[in-house]
Amino acid sequence: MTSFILRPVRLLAQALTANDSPRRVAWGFVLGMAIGLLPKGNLILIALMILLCALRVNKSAGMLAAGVFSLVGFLLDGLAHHLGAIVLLWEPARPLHLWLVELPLGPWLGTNNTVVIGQLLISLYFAFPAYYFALKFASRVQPRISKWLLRYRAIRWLRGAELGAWGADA
Amino acid sequence: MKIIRWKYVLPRLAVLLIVGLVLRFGLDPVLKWALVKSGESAVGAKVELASLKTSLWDGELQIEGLAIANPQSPMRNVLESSDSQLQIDMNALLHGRVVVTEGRVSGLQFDTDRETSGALDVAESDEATGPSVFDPLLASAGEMGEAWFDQLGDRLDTDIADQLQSPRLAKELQERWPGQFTQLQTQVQGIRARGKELEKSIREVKKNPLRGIERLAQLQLDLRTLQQEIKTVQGQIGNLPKQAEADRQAVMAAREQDEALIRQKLQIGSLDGEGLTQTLLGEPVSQGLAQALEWISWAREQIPSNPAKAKAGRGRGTTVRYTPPRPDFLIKRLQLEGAAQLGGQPLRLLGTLTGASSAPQLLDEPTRLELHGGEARALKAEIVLDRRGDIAADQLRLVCPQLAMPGRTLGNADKLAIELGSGLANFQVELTLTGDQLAGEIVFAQESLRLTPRLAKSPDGPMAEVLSQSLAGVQRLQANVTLAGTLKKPKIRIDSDIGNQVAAGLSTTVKRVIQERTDQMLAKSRQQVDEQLQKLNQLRAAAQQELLGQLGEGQELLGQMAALVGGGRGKGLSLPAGIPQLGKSLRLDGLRK
Repeated sequence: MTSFILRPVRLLAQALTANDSPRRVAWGFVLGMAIGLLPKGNLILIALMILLCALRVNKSAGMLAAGVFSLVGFLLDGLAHHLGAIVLLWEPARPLHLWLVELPLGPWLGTNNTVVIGQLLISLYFAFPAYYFALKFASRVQPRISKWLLRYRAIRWLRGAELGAWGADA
Repeated sequence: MKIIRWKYVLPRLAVLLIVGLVLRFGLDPVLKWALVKSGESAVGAKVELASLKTSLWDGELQIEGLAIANPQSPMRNVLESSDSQLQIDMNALLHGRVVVTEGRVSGLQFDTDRETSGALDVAESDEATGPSVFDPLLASAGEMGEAWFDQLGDRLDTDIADQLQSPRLAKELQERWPGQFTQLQTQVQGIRARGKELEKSIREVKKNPLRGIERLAQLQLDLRTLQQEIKTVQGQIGNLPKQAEADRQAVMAAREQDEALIRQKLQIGSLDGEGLTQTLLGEPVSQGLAQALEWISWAREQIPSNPAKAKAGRGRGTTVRYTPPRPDFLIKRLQLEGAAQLGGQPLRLLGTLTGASSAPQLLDEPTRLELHGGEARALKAEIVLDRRGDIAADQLRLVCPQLAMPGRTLGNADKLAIELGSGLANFQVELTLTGDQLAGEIVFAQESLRLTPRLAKSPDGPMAEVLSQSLAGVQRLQANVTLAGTLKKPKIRIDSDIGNQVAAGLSTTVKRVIQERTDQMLAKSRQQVDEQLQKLNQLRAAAQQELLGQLGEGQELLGQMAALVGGGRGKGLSLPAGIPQLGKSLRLDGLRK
């Protein structure tokens, strides 16, 4: 229970005090944002999670972003649905959608779901701004915050909880 | 490649490889187990698979030694096949659907024996195994025919000679005559004796008239008494011809009654061909139909008829369907090859199953099973299961123009049964099931029939003889069975010429036999009565001669007495003038009539 409550805090601490480069943090944040926005239970989401884990990006930033944008995603569902409906019902794109659905494991891709497509489009649309601001944040603010935070034992303790694996990966 | 976190990727790739290996080597047993369990759950009896091999790369599935037990008869298999090869659409499988694009099932056999029980270890069904739904219908229809045969058998087997009146009456008359004759003879002898005594007395009086004058009056009185008695006897003898005539009339009347009795006793009602048809065909038809409908009902329960369940949409958004919904399980085309028993004869069976699916309402075509015989004997069977509409509509067509029929017995072996010889028959079935409503027709025609009657009561009696003669003319059996009602409460009507043919033959033969039997009995009765009457007449004639002789002696004696009493005409005792004429007046000649 304690671990569950502390996990977001830990992730935040790890993200802010990570030794990763700002680009990795920014990429992690972008991937996490897409993961958070997308509805769960489709292969696109699984693929993004695999990318987050398999690529040398800041996983904590990604997880943090995923958590935050999961909440935001529900608020954007209406917009995502409208966007997805426009795209999915666009007749010229119908063969493409049909091809996607007919692909092996196509039904599990979720490419025929309005919210999945809408959230994917929103993620893509906001990918560059998110990357940009995350990069700025990581390069300018994060070192100072990290330095300030590491003075606290609690932060060091939180950061060190998964330091071995996290630090090695970084 | 520095962007890839290999320490994360490599262990997961290793895990994936292990999962792949497990799938490669563990899929077959798991799939076999799953197929057996799901099959047993669907069928309600044991499903056995000898081996199962899959090739995911080629999408091939090979099943050997498949046996599905019969849930209603655990020691038999519904079907079994030696080898099945199925081509699976792997793309569809990756879409979560099992689609058999092409397949071949070899060594298919139906209703085969099992060595072990195929029952599952579940509570036994408490389904009542009561009588067939056809029983009341056929019982009432068949009772008429059976009653007719019972009646005919009883009438032909019963000896009604004892019930005839005329022979009995003739016999009674014959037995009564000796007593009557003895009585008459006694009376005549008494008259003769008394006449002799009277003669003696008269002679004594004549020897000494003066001494006997006192007795003369008495003698005259005795003579008158004797005269009176002679008159009485004369009357009795005179009545004999009348009595003979009355007896003859009585015998004739009794004979007429006897003839009426014989005709009544041997009269038989007209045989109802319909009832006879039900008697003969009712049981085999109802048994076969009840079994077939039971199987159809069971098979229909196994076929999914509910509309395809719409897959639950994702929690968020709307899923746009670019393709129409498709069933999760589909057999596009399956070649069948096997063997079956048809009319007791082994038959190589070839066929095709198309469009079998878990959601048949999603398909453009109904499920279709076509079977045909491998040999020259053309057998065509087509089963169409249409679940595309709201109401299930199934059709069964079976055409077998040269069905080899083994010898069999029709009717009730306890009463009347007819053995049919083996031969070729034309057998056609057309059955439609719309919802639960049943409609259809079964046509059966067998040429070159040889019918042999079997009677439990008296296999060699007159009834059997009559039936043999009647059935000799029946050469063809055609039966049309019309089906209606519902699957649970079917109604059948059997139209066949077998009943009418047998009834017509029987009626003709029975009439002839009864006529012969009636004539025979009447002739026998007449002969017996005539013989008895003739014998009686002979006895009467003999009695007439004897009495006539005795009375002739008496007449002579009375003449002598008249002479003795009178001594001549106008002298002495006067005798009644009629006495000398007594013999003549007896009219004994009448007895000869």
